[in-house]
Amino acid sequence: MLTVAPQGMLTAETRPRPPWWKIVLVGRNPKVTAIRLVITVSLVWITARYVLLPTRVTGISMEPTYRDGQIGFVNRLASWMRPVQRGDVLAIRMAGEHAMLLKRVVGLPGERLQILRGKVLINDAPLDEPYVINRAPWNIPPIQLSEDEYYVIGDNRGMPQSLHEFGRASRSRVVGRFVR
Amino acid sequence: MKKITAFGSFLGLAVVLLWYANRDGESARVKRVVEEARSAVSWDGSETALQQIAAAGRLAGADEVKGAVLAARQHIPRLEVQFLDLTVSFTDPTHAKVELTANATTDKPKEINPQEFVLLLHKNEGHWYIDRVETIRTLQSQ
Repeated sequence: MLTVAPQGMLTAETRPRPPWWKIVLVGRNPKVTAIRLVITVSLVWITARYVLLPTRVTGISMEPTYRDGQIGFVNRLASWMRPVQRGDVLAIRMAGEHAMLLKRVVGLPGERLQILRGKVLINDAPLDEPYVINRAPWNIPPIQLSEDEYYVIGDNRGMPQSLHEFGRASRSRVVGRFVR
Repeated sequence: MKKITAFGSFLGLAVVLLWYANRDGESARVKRVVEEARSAVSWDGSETALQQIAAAGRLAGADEVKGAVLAARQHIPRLEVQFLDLTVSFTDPTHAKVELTANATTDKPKEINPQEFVLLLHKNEGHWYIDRVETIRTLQSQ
């Protein structure tokens, strides 16, 4: 079917095609491209700030699972989707979220925990920890965790106990689960 | 009546704005003192002994903190300290509490030791001074 355009108006058929570089830069329809760009940037910003926090691992306390300089994400929504479980790697906030401790959960709320010659005992039963390669003879007397606490340790148990930061972390300090 | 209401609203808004601006100003002043402390506890190893003493003297507050910084300066050749996630709260108009995470880097490239601190400050004759520095343990081992 033929359409007749009023004088001075261009139909889709008669409108000149923009040069290729313009299409590459701003698309066929700049308005739509701008809206898409704004939506994409907003989604990325919201995701990076509130859902998946980009994080760089520093230090050796989580070796060999995570090495110094590795990049990963802290999933803030993970603990909403399923409760924290033993073996999860959590990001624990300090004064804020620009520096966080990355540790593995070994003790859950309400449990009794002890470390005897490097072996973690939960309610007097030894914990199977396949992620631990070397084990220095650490010792921690029995501790009763409250209903609001997790016990977290790094995977590098070969290092001296005095140089490794580990212990009870309150639920309010948990930012999210670390994912690669 | 309308004029009185409008005037009252305007006055109320002005008071709130003034209070907010003043409070924000106090917070900025406290942050400035903390920033001075941060620069006094960072050094690059190229300073003379006199410069080290002068830098430690810039710390507004507890003498034991100054002493500790001066002693540390003589043993560690280079230390760069960053203060992260700094929040200021006021217990009353002359007392402030600052919570922060300090991140220190030394000559060894991979040695980064973040540590939480609480700084307690008091205001005297218009100036803020650091009363006490407390370390906070993020994880309780016992």
